[in-house]
Amino acid sequence: MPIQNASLNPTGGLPQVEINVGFAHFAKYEFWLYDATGSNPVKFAEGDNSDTILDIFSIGNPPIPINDLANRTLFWRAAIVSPVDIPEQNYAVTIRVSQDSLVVGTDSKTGPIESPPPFGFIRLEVA
Amino acid sequence: MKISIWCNLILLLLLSWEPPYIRAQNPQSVPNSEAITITFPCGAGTNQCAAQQGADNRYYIHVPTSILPQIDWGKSGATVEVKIAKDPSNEGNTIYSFPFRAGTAPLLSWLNAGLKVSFIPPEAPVKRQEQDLFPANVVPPIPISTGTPAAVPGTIARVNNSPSPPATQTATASPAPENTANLDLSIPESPAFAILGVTPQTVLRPSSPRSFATSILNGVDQNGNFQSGIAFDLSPYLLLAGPNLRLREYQASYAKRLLARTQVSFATTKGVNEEDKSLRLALGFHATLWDRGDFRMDKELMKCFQRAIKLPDILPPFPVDPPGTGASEVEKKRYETYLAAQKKYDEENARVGTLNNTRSAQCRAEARKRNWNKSSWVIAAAPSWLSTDGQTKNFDWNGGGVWTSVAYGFEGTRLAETSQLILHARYRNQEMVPDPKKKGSFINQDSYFFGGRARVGNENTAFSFEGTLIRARLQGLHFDNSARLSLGLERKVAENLWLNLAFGGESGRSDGKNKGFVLTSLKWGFGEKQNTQGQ
Repeated sequence: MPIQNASLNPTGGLPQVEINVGFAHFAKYEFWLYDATGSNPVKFAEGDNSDTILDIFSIGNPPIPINDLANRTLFWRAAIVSPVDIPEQNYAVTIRVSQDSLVVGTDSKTGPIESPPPFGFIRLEVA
Repeated sequence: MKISIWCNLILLLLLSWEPPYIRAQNPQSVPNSEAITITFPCGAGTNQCAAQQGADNRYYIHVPTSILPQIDWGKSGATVEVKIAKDPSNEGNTIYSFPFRAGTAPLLSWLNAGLKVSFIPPEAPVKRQEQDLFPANVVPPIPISTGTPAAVPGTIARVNNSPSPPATQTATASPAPENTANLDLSIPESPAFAILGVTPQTVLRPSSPRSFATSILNGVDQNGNFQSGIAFDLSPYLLLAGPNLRLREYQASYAKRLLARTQVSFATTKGVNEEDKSLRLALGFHATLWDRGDFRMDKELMKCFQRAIKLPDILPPFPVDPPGTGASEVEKKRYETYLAAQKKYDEENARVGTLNNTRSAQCRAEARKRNWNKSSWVIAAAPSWLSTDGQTKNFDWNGGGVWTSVAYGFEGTRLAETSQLILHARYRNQEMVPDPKKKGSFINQDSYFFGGRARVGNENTAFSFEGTLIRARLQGLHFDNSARLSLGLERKVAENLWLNLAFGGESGRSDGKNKGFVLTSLKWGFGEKQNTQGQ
């Protein structure tokens, strides 16, 4: 599986990660963070997109300083279902890593709504 | 007036009433809407179940493993971490545990259904307790070298290999019958077909648009002429902006809901007999102004999804690049291990995906029961063109029409689950119709339709009674008033297949050509990519 990259500014603010699920579909999601060796995953956020809590989180819980994020990898996954009873719909999900309101990395997936929950990895680079 | 005041007072009393057991257990006056209730079907007095309060603000219920609890999550939408573990002191038992709010105490009661435990969940939503629920030290590292995916604790997690299913499964997710899964109550009539007068019902039911749909027609128009045709319906906003339309934005923005539920359609029909060789063309614009049955706005449906939808209990392996040609045996072995772990995750992910599809279908089936007859309001407009000789180069303006349908679902009354009343008004002008006095020629007609349709039934079967007043005027003549009455049946006969039957008659036509009619239609639902309607 290809890993997307997000380039963080070492002097910038704390980065955030956000999940956007299109077509007004329901989604339950999780965010995990691996260490620089690709081990020791820790879940730092989860939720669903139907409540009033925004689906945007600082990376790490508590938030991890930027320099400590170097070469770590963010893992996300989402279970997406449609509220409406129409077969053969597609889903669209986009993960955005942002810093100081700038998008510094993304990962997107689309496919039939009946597909297994999509997931992906984003490597955090501090340059 | 006095009756109205008394009704309001009674309503206020009902709304302000809370079950006494919650107040008794909660001196802080926590609203009972926050309470979660778990029922264990133990059987009163059998000593099968035992409960104890832990020092960690968790409650522990010991039950035989064969007993599966049912959870009522209440109205707040809050969830709690329900843990399931084997009982170390009794091999045949399972221990369920959950946290409760500090300062409150769970209430136990024995009912016919078994042991019922009501409690107030911790104050902070689970979503804000990420650090407490998922401390780093409880998540084992992924052992890439062995290819074994890590176990993942969840908000509602299974913590061992107990044969009992997770609590949420028993609460919401028994497998749904496959035949309830895939179709809206009925396939919407194409607005463009409607203006061409070839929909089976005169009174058009408000219904949800689809982002793209195709309808094929073979049937009889309102003048008794056989027609064949095709219609394309699409929601431009969903097609163009759908990938970026978030559920929260849809729920919060009336404008986005209106855009998402605005439909454009294109339809053409052709007469298939010697008397009518005409070719008709119409565009349609259809907007849902208001809909109390919008599934995306259904809070109960969202709660059902929150309870039922799951993610896998394991993580995928961390990606490993394929070994190059000069790779060492260790690197090759590492990659093989990765592929094996990835395969295992893919299988588990597919299993969870299938389970989610089944569970979400059940949630939608329940939503359909709640919403099939809810109140709504749609408006539509459609211009049309006609080629009397059937040649595409000879299209002439054929007038247009506007109409509206308002459905009332009797919300808040005894009829709320079984009935719906639809009122419909339509104006159609400059429609070219076959001239009754001169065979083979056409004449302009303006017409008004005012109708009502009562539907009684459920989400799978509905009987309807329809009455329409038709006020039509041929060019140069006076208005001719007539009425049309019909009885109808909509019945889901198989998965994705609906039978629509209507029979009735006309009265009051000045030309005396009142006719009886029997109309049947079969509707197949093939989704957005293919949606074929036979009539």
